[in-house]
Amino acid sequence: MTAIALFACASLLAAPVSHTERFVRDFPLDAGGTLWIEDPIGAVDVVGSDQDGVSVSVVKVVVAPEGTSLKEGREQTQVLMGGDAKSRLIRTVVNGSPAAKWKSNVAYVVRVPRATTVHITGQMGEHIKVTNIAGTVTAKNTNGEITLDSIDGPVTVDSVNGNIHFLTEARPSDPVQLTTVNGSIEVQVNGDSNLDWIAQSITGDFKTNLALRSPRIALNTMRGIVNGPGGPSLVTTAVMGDVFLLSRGGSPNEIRSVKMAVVRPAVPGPQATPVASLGVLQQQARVIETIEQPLVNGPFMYATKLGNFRIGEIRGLASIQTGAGQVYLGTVTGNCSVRSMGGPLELGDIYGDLNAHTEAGEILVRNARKGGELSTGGGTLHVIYAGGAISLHNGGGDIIVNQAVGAVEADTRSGDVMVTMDPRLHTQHVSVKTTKGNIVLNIGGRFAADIDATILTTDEEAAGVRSDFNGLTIKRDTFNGKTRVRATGKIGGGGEKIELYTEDGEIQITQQGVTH
Amino acid sequence: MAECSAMKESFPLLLTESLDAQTREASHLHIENCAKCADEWNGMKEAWRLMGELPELEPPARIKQRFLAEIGVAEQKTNVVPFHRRPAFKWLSQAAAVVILAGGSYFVGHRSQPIHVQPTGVASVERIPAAPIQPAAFSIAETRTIDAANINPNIEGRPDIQNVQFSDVDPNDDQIQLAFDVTQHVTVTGARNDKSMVRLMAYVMENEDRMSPTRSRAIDWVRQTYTPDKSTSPEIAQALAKVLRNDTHEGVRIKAVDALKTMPTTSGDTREALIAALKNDPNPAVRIKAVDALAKLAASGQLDSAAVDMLRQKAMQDDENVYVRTRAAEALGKIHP
Repeated sequence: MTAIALFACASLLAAPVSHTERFVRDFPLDAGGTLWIEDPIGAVDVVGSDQDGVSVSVVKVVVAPEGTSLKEGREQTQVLMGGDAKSRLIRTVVNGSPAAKWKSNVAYVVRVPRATTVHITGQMGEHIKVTNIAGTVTAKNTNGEITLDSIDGPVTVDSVNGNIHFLTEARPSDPVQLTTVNGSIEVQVNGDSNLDWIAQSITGDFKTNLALRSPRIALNTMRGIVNGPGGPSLVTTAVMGDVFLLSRGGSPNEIRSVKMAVVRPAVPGPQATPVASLGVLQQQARVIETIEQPLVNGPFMYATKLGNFRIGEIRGLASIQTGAGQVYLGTVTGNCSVRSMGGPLELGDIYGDLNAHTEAGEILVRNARKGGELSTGGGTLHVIYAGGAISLHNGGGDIIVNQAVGAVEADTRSGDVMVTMDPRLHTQHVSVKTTKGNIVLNIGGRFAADIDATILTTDEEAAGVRSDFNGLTIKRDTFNGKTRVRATGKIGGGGEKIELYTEDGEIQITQQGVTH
Repeated sequence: MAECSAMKESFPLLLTESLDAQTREASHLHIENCAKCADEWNGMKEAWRLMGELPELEPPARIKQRFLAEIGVAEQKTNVVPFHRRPAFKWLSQAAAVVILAGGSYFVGHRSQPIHVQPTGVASVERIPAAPIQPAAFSIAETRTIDAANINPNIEGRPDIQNVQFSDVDPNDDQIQLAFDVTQHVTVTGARNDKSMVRLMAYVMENEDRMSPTRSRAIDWVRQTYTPDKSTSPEIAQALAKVLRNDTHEGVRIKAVDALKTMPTTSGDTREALIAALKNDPNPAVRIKAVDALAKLAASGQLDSAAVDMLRQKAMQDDENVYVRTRAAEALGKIHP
């Protein structure tokens, strides 16, 4: 198969050349011995048998556009075999640079005694398949399917993008741990198997046609007892994919969603879920769902566990909740409420009250006409225009307000805060606090306020409060072992209170139009 | 004898800890072995200490005005509340006051050289540098413009530079300008990827006064100035990586990783910084941006096994933010044979 693909690939090139090398090696291996295989570029098949020793069949294919590259490819792709009767190692070593013109593939079919312990490390090979082994099996790869068929020993499988199949007629008696990030998992066992099943997935579902007792779901994890207690643990993690636990030979029509059953246990009737075919999962390129609309003519309310939102205009109120995802809203003519457990928020022109929060990520608001409340667990928080009082809270990162008409309240755990008040304002309340960072407050020449600016720092020679306005008195003392610099006074004859507080930073009160 | 003479000239630099480590060590060795220099050094240290105890007095306005008039600088009126100088500048102001009153000082002239801007081609300084004594007046008032091509890219010691400003007078050419105060205002002009200019930019990002807004501005400016250029020096990315690894200011780290994300060149050092940020940074926004940067590398086939392992670890990590986990998974999904 691989060779065909390589040849097909090569046919697109001008006058491609290829070389195929086949050979078989036999080695002694004790019953209970260990086999290690490392093959980053090809398929690996391991079959257990009742015969003694190891038999390794190798197919090495190199394809290149011309003879010189082909020669280089053959030299740089090497098959190494070593070890002794207790432990055998088979390795494919490829020394080519990413820019090399040649491509190579090495496929192995290995026969071993059934009691052998098997460890396979792949990378980009098209599959790893292990059949009829009674010992421990571990397999790891980046891409490509991993299939374990009739394995009686403990199993650990770890893939990045590949689907995993664990198939057995028997009732498992040893722990099985299957993990994939972007693939799905299919487990087929004897219908009478007792298992302690733990399944995890962010975007996928857990499906079974076995009897599952008191399943519990917390966040992204499900735990339940299959048939009865006392069985080995079965841990299946498919971060972005589905997990199937099926009875071998059972009916596909009886497959049901555990999530649905737990969330809506009273739903009557069969929850039939089509499966492409038993034993074969479709490769799913699962991505986060995106709700995309140029215009919503009315209120928009949506809650999803995982989803991006990209909506041009909402003519009404907006209420959005997402477990994780990016949110972009162009215009919202009503009140706007956004809650995200993680992901950046970008909000355009918001006519109504604004209330937006993300656990992680940046927030950009272009026009909060009535002001509002914004918070992030960490990320830059940027408001271009706030037409009303605005409250900004940041778990870590800068806060920037380009133009504020209303009162401003801003605090960040670690970050700079830069606030520019509308130049036409005569006075307005401002409260800014950063536990580590600088504060720059930019106000108009006619602005009037009562200033109370404090710096608390461990730096005895710390810079003070810089102000373009006269009338501030600066005092420097020691407070709790730190140097405290405090500037107080009235500017423009006095007005609303401006409270600025920073630790380990500087404070600048600048006048608009004055260059520095 | 000549060595003693050079040594004495370097005392002011030694006092202000402006010498590089190697020269400093050589100076102390000499002082330990030369009684005459040791006497002079001890005397100078004592004088320096006493000067530090002097109250911070403004020179009388009449004398100050006359002095400024003589050097051709009109006193600028300002309503800015005076800055409390950092130690080096506190010493400088004290020394300057003494200079004005006494008509000149040996020390100040030497302190005008904390940054060793040396002509290109000068061999690295093995001996004690014999810096020319400059009149004190020039160290306060002079503004110099230096071509980056004419300065040595090796910045010695840790010069305290302030009031850093960046500019690109003509965006259509490759020339940029970096201005700062050492003891005089200096503007360095040069091509973006001139080695000296790159080193200065890196120095500003890594060493600028730790809480100064200049550092954030420097990163913003670097991002705007360097990222469109595919030939950007790897030293810029390395400097950003250093900031990402070491800065305690979360806003600065967010900016650093954001800038790094758009850098065209990615060295192993940069990759390691991104991996470390993804693994350890307490700020979720930094981790999100680190994932995005690694995803970009994955798409271009530049991911190494350490990065793949870290992305895999993050995608699996139960207590990680779900958005970070899904972004890590998406990045891994871009890995193809």
